[in-house]
Amino acid sequence: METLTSTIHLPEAILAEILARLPLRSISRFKSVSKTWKSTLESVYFRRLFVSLHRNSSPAWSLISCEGKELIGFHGCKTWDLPKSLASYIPLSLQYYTASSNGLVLLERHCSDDYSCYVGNPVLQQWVKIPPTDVNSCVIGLVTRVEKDGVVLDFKVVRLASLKTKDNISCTLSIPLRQGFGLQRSKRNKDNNDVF
Amino acid sequence: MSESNKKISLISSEGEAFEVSEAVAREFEIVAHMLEDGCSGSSIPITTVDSNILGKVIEYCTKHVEVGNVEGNSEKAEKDLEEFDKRFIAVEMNTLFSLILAANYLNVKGLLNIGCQKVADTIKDMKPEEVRSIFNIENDYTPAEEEVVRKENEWAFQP
Repeated sequence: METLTSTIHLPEAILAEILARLPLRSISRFKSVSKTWKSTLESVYFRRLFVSLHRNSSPAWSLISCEGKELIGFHGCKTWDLPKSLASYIPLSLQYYTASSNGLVLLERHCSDDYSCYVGNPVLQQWVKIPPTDVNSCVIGLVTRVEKDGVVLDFKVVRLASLKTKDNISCTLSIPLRQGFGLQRSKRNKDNNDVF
Repeated sequence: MSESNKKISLISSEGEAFEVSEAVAREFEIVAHMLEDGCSGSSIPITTVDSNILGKVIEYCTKHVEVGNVEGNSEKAEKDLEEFDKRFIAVEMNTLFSLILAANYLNVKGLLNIGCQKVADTIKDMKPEEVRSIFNIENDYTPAEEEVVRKENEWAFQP
């Protein structure tokens, strides 16, 4: 029978070479192996190695209707190894899908009198509620700022506001609402909402 | 070509000599660099690799050199090589780790790649506990700390 346990100690650089060939799902799970593994897996060096080894693999994607229904999608990629479709990660309570950018999605909830808007990562199930504005506006888009190796640094929610001028001519104005959101470190900078 | 007929002896950690053609020896990048640096000796000591593993690495390089030399490389030859690689790394974990370490030291990139990929494929769907046992790793988390990390990555534990 094949013996699985090894008595050989592998140097960290070789361990990184092995682990960087795993899909993200296994990598996330193996952060529980030990503190040393977690710090290896979260290092910038490892991230770059992972990105360079997975350059040719196509990412998971999904075409989702406004109602949150997946029309067509692909999730069996080697980069993520997702066991189910991307759309199935979106909570049913947040059914209005509005926009997406670099893995983040913008969802709206219309529930009788209650209206709310969320930005988040569906796979990690991390959601940030976007505070409402005083101005009568509607959410139309999401933009992200990304580092070269794919780390999402922050995002902006784009709103379209309707204003009535003196002459009673209505015009539109876009107001980006900014919110810092470090995905990789799941550091949320909730105080950083400035409308400008 | 007289060059490719030249023989070189690679000496394992036990002192055993393996005679190979220069073309095969050059597959070991570390040896190729030695030769380029003017090290003209016909025997090269590979002190960190034992006979068993060195023999295997030579077998791998010999096969790859042979296939590389065939004119107008056909699809069949490539398939055969893939099959060879697959069989070659179907070994127990200790041997696989030793092959990876040797490929890393000798700088045989193809072997390093298939070795690392094989380990990754083996552990891909395992639980953290099983991975600890394979790599002989002590769990240095307290139960509470482990719970936090597991919670943060819950999606990766779901079927």
